[in-house]
Formats: sequence, C-alpha cells, structure tokens
Amino acid sequence: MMLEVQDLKKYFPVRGGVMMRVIGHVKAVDGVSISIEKGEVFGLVGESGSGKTTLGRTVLKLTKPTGGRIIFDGRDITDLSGKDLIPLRREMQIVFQDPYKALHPRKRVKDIVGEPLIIHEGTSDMEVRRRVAEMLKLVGLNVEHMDRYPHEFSGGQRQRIVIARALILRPKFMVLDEPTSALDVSVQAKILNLLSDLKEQFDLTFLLISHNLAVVQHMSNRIGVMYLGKLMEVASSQELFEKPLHPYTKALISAIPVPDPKLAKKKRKMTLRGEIPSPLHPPSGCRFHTRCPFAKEICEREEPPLREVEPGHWVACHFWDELREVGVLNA
Amino acid sequence: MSDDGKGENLLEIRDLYVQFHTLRGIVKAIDGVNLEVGHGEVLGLVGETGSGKTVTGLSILRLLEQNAEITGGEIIFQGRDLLKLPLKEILKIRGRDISMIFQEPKAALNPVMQVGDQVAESFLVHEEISKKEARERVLGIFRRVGLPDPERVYKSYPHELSGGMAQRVVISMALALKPKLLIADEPTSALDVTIQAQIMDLFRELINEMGTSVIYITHDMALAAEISDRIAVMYAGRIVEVADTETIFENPLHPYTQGLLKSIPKPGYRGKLFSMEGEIPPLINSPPGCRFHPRCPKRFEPCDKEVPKLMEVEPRHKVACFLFGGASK
Repeated sequence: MMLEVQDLKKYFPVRGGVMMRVIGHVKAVDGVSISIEKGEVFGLVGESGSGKTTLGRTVLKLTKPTGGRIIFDGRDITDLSGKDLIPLRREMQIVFQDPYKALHPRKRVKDIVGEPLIIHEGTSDMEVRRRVAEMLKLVGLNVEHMDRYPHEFSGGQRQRIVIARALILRPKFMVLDEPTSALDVSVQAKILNLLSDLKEQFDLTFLLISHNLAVVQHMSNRIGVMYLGKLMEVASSQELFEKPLHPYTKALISAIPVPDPKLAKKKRKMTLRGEIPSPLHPPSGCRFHTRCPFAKEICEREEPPLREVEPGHWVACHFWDELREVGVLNA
Repeated sequence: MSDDGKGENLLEIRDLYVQFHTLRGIVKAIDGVNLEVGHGEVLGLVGETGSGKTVTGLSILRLLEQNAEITGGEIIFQGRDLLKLPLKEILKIRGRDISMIFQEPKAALNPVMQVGDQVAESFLVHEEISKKEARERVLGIFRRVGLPDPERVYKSYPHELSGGMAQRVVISMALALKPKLLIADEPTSALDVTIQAQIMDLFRELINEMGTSVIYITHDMALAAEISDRIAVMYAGRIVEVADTETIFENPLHPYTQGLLKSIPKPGYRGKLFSMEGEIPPLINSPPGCRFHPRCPKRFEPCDKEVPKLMEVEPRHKVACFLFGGASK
C-alpha cells in the first residue's frame, strides 16, 4: 500500500466578531478514509467546497490534519513536523493547476528544476545541469530550454517544467491537483499522455484531483466522489461510470457534456436542483439530502455511513439498494 | 462563398479583419472571418486560446478594446452594417437587439448596486415605463430563470450571490428585452458541473421559448454539441470548418477539427489520447499560408504559401483546406 488515510479530518477555524474569536469551523475534510495501492491512479472528483484539494494537501502534510491518520508507504506520518518532514518531501510531490503561478518568474528553468537537487542532495552545479538536462528531455523539452525564463514558455511547456521539477528527486507518489484545467484541449491531451508515460517509467502512484470527470475517468483505476468534505462513493473507474450507486455520482456523470450529439440525445439526464450548500453550514444527516431527488425523511436525520456494498464498491446512501432495484441511476 | 439567400440570415459577418496594436507589434487576431447566423439558430463558435472566438463576438457589438482596430469587413445585422453605424445607434442595439453574456457573471454586475435595479435599468433605458412596472417585470423574469425568492434576490448585491445565481441574474438582464441575438461567451466555464447543467437547461428552454438566435462561444466541443444547431471551428483567427453539429462530429473534414475531436478524453477509452503535433502558434508571427500547416499531418505544397478559402464542399458543410479544393483568391 502506498497511502492509507484513515478517518482524516481537516477543519479550518472561522473567526469573527470584534475579538476575532473562533466562531465556527469549516469542515473541509470530515472523516475520509481511502487507500491507494502502489502503482495505482486514484481519482478524486468533486465540485467547489467538496474538500478534494484540502485532502490532497493534507495527505502530503502541507497542512496539519485535525484528526485521523496518514500512513505513507508503511510509515505513520501523521505527527511528523518540521525537519522530520524533509526526507518525506523527496518521496511525495505535488503538481498544481496553474503553471503560470507555480514557477518563479525571475529564475531560469535550470534553477527551478534543479533546486530540489541542491536542497536535498547538495548536488554540484555540473551534476545539476546534467540531471536537469536529462529530466527536461524526459518531459518533452530540450536542453536549450535550460537557461530560459518561465515567461518564454507556453502553458503546456510550463506544466512540463512543473512536472520536471516534481520528478527530479524521483518521488514515489504524486498528487496531481487539476493538472490540466488551465490548458487547452489539444495541450491537455499531451500532458495527460506524458503523465501516463512517466508513471510507467518511474513506477509512480498518483492521486489525481479534478472536477473534470472525463479526465479522471481516462486516467484513474479507482475513483472517489466527494461532496462537502465526505466521500459519497468509491469504486473502480468502470463500475463508477457504468453502475453508479449514489444519486450524486449519477448527477455528476449526467452533467458532463458528451462529445457526441447522437449519444447526447439518448443520455438520461438528472439535473440537480439548488445550489451547493456552504461548507460552513453543511446540511444535517446526509449532506446531499437538500439536492437529492430521492431524499426521504431519514436522510435529513441520519448520516449514512460509507459501506462496501459490493467487493470494492463503497457507497454512502440510505437507499442505494432500492434505487438500484428501480433502476433510476442506470445510464 | 455561397450566400444562403438574402434576408435568410439574421447576422452576416463578411471578411472581417481585426488587428491589435501591442508593444511587440501588430497581432492579426481575426484574419478574414465569414460567418452567418440564421433566425432562431444556435451557432456554436468553438476554438482554443487565441483562436479569435471572443474577439469575433466582441466585434459584433463593437466592444473591442482601445488598441484593437477593425481593418476590414462588414457585419450585417438586419440589413445594416454594424461597423458603419454611429456609436449612438450601436448603443440602442446593445441590450435591445443584441446582448452579450460573459464568463464571469460577477464581473458583469455593478458591485455597489442592487442586482434587481441593474436588470430594471435595461427596461428604463430602452422602454418608456415606470420604475414600478420595471420592478414587476424584473421579478417576473427572476421567477422565470429559476431564482429562488425573487424579492430577496432583487435587493441583493452581487457579492451576496453564488456564481450560479449571479449567472441567472446576468441571463435575466441579457434576455430582459427579448433580443434577436444573444452572444454567450463561455457562460458556464466558471461554474461547477452540476450548476453548469442547470444553466444549460435554462438556456435551452429560454432560447426555444423566445426564438432568440445565439452565438455560443466555447472552448468545449462537447458543450457546443449539446446546445448548437451548427458549429463553426476557429483556429488562429480564421474559421476552418462550419457544419451542422452532427456533421462536425460524424464527418469532420479539416485536419484541425479531426485532431481536436480526437484529443478529447472519451468515456470507456483509456489508451493514449491523440495529440496534435506542435503547439498553437503565437499570433504575433503566425505561419504564412494556412495557419494550421506547421501542425498538420496532411500538409502538402500549397499549404505554406497560400491561404485556403472557406468553401462549401457538401451542402451546409464548409471547409478551408486545400485537401478539399480551397483554391485561393
């Protein structure tokens, strides 16, 4: 197992009033358990406020968890802090959405990509140049790019630089947080292909976070669906799309525009009413009940646990069985 | 260039050229665009960054920035060339006959004015009615676009609304006067998918109900497929292909359209994605001839020398590519 997350919680305090006292908490991640196997791509989907980005940052210990445990490659890293985290940083890396913000504008590519080598290994300048050159080739750039500045590159090329920097220490695990959301479709295809190639080449494990279901489905072995800080459903990529068991998953799938006008007409739509509630005041019981077309009285009162209802298929819904029987969630 | 008969089209863009004067030189953002929009038609205008889809939309209402210059062409709307009208006339057309919706709904709203009053303003400017009547009509539209508690929304300020609600307000404003043409520029790109689905449903209903023609600008082919009758694909300032939505997806002819469609991740397919050679060229020194030729797998002699014309190769299917004639001017 590469990563095991048990009942992870991350609460952010909300301050207010004259004294700026803590008046409440945003429960960005509220008891999430997932396990990611070595070599796997685990996709995490959700809309604004679902907590998917916070989850990604918390498992990397970029922010301190409020509760729960994080086991990385057999070691409990939950309580590590300060210096103890440095060796860990070599093994886990993150790629963010916006390649325009992720690169220092006044540093050359060589310094951006090579910096981790200097920090972690004290590598000599010659060696840094050699390893940066090698890495640039692997991500589809070339040696001449080494002495240029970020503004000289297109969005796709910048994302390649970000990926080169993340990979230079040969990590085992990467969090990809919306890695292609800022890119054009034709560029997105290239970056996704590159990530798949690098994954094979370096035996990587990915946690892929995205609001784009098509991208997540394309890349992931398994997918977790988050809503307001909780997992609603976890299943293999194929199962999730062919036999979703949670109404929210179904709604998400039916909301993706289909790039095929004939299929689009046949598609059974399920449009949700209402807005995504504020994570500051999530609804009682099942958090999805305010928008669920099948909600009953119990959903308001009682929170359904995430249960494994079929091998490898987990769902948090009181009525998953009934809904499946009447077939309302079928494609 | 075939003209589908006079009077049949609500809007006709003929040979439009737009340049931007920048510190680094002249950028030819629109380089000879021809496009028609029929009565009641939804035309999807699709392209990637720098394709000129937004500039085309802005040109119609003469909303281009100071450093932009329209260097040629005509935009005929109901028999009049919008590019030759005095600004006073354009102001009358904006909002009443043609309106526009942008990606960021909150940027389109005045932050220090109640949103209801902002929508009411369009009535007060273009029609002679009392404030009270205007208010009643705004509340009616708010109800129609599915805003919960219209009275409360009327008195809200933009920051008090969610993205989805703000976009509903903007849609109310754009459709308040039942314009003949609506230009929607990525109206759902800033929204979450479930909210996007709501807004798309609303759009479809309203367009059908009012018979409004729409130019739907988006980078997302799939989204364009769901709403458009016809799709025009733009690349680096030119239109490369126009056809009915189903035709574009079933029988794309231009190598760029083919590549773009193959790049989209599709359900059930997990192999390598098709990826086009090279990257989108910067417009400041765009390639000579067909602007797509450096990336085109099928390029041959004429492609880097001459510009292919947009020609009708099958009924209602136009392509600008030498593989299908495209004999140049």
